[in-house]
Amino acid sequence: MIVLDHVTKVYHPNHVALQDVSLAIGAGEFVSIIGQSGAGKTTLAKLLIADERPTQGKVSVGGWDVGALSVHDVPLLRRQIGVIFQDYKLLPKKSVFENVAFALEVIGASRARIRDIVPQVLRVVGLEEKAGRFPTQLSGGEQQRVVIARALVHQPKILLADEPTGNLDTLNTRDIIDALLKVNQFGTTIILVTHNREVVNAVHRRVITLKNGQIHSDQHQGKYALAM
Amino acid sequence: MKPEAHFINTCWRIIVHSWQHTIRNAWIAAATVAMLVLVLSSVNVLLAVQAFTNQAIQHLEDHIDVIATFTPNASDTLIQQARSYVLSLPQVQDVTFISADQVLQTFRQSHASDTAVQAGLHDVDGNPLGAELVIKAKHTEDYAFILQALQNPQYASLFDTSTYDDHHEAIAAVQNLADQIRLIGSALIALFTLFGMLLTFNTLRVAVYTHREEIGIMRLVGASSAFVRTPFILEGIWLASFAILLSSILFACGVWWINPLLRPLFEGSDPGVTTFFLQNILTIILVETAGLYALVTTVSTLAVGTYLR
Repeated sequence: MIVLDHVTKVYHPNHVALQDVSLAIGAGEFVSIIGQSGAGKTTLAKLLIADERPTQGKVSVGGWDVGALSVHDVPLLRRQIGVIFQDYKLLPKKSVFENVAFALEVIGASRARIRDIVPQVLRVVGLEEKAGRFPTQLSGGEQQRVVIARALVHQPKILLADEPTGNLDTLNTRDIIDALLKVNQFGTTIILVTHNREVVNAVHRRVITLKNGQIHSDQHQGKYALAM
Repeated sequence: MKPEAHFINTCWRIIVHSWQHTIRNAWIAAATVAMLVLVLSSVNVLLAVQAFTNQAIQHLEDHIDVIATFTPNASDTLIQQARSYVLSLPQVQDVTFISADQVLQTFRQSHASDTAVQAGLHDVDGNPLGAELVIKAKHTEDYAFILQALQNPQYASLFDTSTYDDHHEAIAAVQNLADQIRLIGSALIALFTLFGMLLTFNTLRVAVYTHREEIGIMRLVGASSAFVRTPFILEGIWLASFAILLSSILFACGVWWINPLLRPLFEGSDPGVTTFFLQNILTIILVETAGLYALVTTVSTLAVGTYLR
């Protein structure tokens, strides 16, 4: 599903964010990528959605060679991946319904399908009653649930969650992790980028630890404490 | 979904998004429209001022004429020949003949309170004044030629005086002033159009800049460049259309208000602003619409492109 082959990413002028990273993530896996600030976690996440291109090596996502993608093909790749961000990245002038529907609109889904699916997904994340509200009228936890709904509504093969619990309290964090685990049960590959010890330990799945831009460890049922 | 249905669906969504975006960003839209109205109104005001000055110059030119005075002893036959000769000149628009008696009568009336003049006229035997030809040229620049033509040896001896010397400098001054005003007016319109374009360019860039994060989010969710860009272009076109409508209404109101106020300056005749408006408003709207749409499309395309990755 995802293969990084000797990937190096250097930012101008000579900051090495990732150095000779090689890894493979199979379909249906739940992988936590952890590491301290500056370890290269976010760079790795950006490479997966073609927000950055590798300086050396090859990044392959669902058969797409990220380094060789044309500008025209980037949206096609991103439609295969659901992305959850720490800072939500909701469209502020669109309602909850419209934000979720937007992910379907960009792939050309019919209005009937949108009217059918979006309320279902909002029901799953418990926001059916707040479909008409705007992001500024929601709490942090609710906004993050909208992001999850948007990331899942088009049934992506891969779900990339970059620090999804960074702005949430313990209760909301638990809800988000439960939701990710549930999604993974349906076969979606989950990549969780985090530095939250409790989250990683609660998930208890594969853990890849990055340190100074390199893979420090790769454990199949790792824990944060062990990994570091 | 069939490709045609998909295309129509996408077009409909783009239109809905652009309209929603315009309404939900009402303050930015209002600021942009206000700026566009200011730009368009500046150009419209300058066009109206130029129409007004053109009319004023025309009014001034209409008041210019050359009076050729015959010697008192010139015979009627020769006077009519001279009149026909002047009328035959292609540069001449109109010639009015004033008989010697009429000239004397007018002179008496205009000097009615001057006892010395009245006494002098009484002492003189007969009419000391000659008949006159009041000559109007088709164009101001033709007067020089007409006055030259009056020096024709065949008729020159018939003329006692002409107002050539009196008018020569005045005519040249009016002509010079008219040329200068037209040149400055055109230059000002070109300059304001350029400033307006720059102002519009920056206004639209700022409007897009305020939405740069939204553009990034749309891209991250998988929207194509066209799906992100086109609503911004359409939004610009809605705002431009609204600005053109508002500035045209303002222009019409301004013309309706100012025209009667200017009428006394033209001795009751039309100052020309209303006529200019009625004759040119469609052309002005068409040119402004085409120009603004082209500008909006170009700027929006470039500005949104900056934030598309």
